[in-house]
Amino acid sequence: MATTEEILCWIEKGGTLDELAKVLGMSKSLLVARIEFLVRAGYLSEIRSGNGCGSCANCKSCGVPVPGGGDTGMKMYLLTETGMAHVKNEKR
Amino acid sequence: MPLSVDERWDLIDKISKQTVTFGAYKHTLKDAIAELTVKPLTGIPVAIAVIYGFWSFFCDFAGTLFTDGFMVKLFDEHWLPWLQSVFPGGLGNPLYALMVDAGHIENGVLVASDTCFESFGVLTSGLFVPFGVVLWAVVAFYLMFAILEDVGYLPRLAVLVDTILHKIGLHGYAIVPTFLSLGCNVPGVTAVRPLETRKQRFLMITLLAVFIPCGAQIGIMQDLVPELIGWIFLTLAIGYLGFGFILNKIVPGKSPELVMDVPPYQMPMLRNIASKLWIRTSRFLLVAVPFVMLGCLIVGLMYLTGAMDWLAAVFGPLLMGWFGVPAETVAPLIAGFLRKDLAVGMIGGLMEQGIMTTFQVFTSVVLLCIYFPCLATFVMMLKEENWKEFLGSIASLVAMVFIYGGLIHLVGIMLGVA
Repeated sequence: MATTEEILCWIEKGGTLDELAKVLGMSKSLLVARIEFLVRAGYLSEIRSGNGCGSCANCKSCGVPVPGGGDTGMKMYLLTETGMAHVKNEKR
Repeated sequence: MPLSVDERWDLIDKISKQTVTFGAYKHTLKDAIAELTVKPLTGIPVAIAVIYGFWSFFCDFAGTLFTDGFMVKLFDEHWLPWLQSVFPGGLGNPLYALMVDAGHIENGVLVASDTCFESFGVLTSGLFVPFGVVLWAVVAFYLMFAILEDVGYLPRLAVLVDTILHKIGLHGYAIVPTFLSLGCNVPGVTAVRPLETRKQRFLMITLLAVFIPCGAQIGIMQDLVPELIGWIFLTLAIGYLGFGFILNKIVPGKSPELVMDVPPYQMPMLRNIASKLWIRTSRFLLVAVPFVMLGCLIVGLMYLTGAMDWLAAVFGPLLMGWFGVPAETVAPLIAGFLRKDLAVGMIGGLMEQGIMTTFQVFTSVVLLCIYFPCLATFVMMLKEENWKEFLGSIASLVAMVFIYGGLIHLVGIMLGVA
């Protein structure tokens, strides 16, 4: 089972969640759960982006239900300052 | 004794393995397509095919079917001759020149224009550019874009171009504002908000404002200079990546890596596509039509008052000496502040009058793309950036225009075509 530090180190390298799950040898659902935990713990920040229109200025007032868009579109995760410091400490 | 975080996750994993039975997952066709479109070996050919299909539809639907098939005939063979015959004043009258046809000089004689591109009146070019050419290009672009969005292809494209975009301080998501800007730069600039750092947003806005032509401009380019459009896109792509690489080295700040969760493919819904198409197209019409007509009016007034000749005399040496384009290009460059599509249309008019060589047309169109964002994009940049960033964007823009414009001229001289 991958440690928190390992997950953070891999996230620092970039890629997709599917690739990351394969590399770490865990199911995607478990990886998502761990990532959500890391977001709550302040190590990662989550950026949501609809498929193009999700970031539109009118998104909140727009009534168009977008499949895979709006709140359920592409999600991106990146290390916060805390996360980066954690990775840095681990590398030392 | 309390467990550490990792020990707790280990325990969760053990419990779930003992209590949850996982059935064998059957790979579906959707999964296979999802994998094929995200792996570089198969994903890149698929991306090329998708973009080629997108472009073919754009050209055939907007250019061949609507503009050449209906609109050129309607405007040039019916609307323009009708206005020329009924509008009071006639050739040489100031109001007639502003509203219908400014005419042009042939062998020292002022002659009437044959096409709405040449006439440059508020009621001729002012209506032909937005309704005859650009509207169909915008509809074709947004229709295809909405389908790709709803299917879920864009996040996969983002994953594919991630490595390249990291070289210029961005990441895969930057393909979304870039693609969106090919429709209109205004929503493209708004779409940079999800980028994480100020550096990335600055880089993205600056590159969008300079190197990404909007759908309206592309539609006019496709109609006027189809044989040059490949070279124009190649030049802009080299500028986008080259100057992106340089800016990434110069601009301080971070460009962190991230992981992406790519959503599954979906069947597009007709209602969504129709709604998005309507929202975007109607917004375009609201912004573009008044600006194009205003642009025609301002440029017409500048010609009538002699201001354009004065500007051409002032900037002519710079345009000819540094960029290698004739002094007459000053009029499209001024119109380009309001609408780039209108400005490209004006270059078409100059081209039809035989004022420019092919290389000068190419250089002028590239210059028009890069020299300044249109007014609407300019306002949006002011809104999205703070003053320091905005001034930085403008300074970068000026530097890029002079360096790149001069470089294109130099290449032309070396090839013997400038």
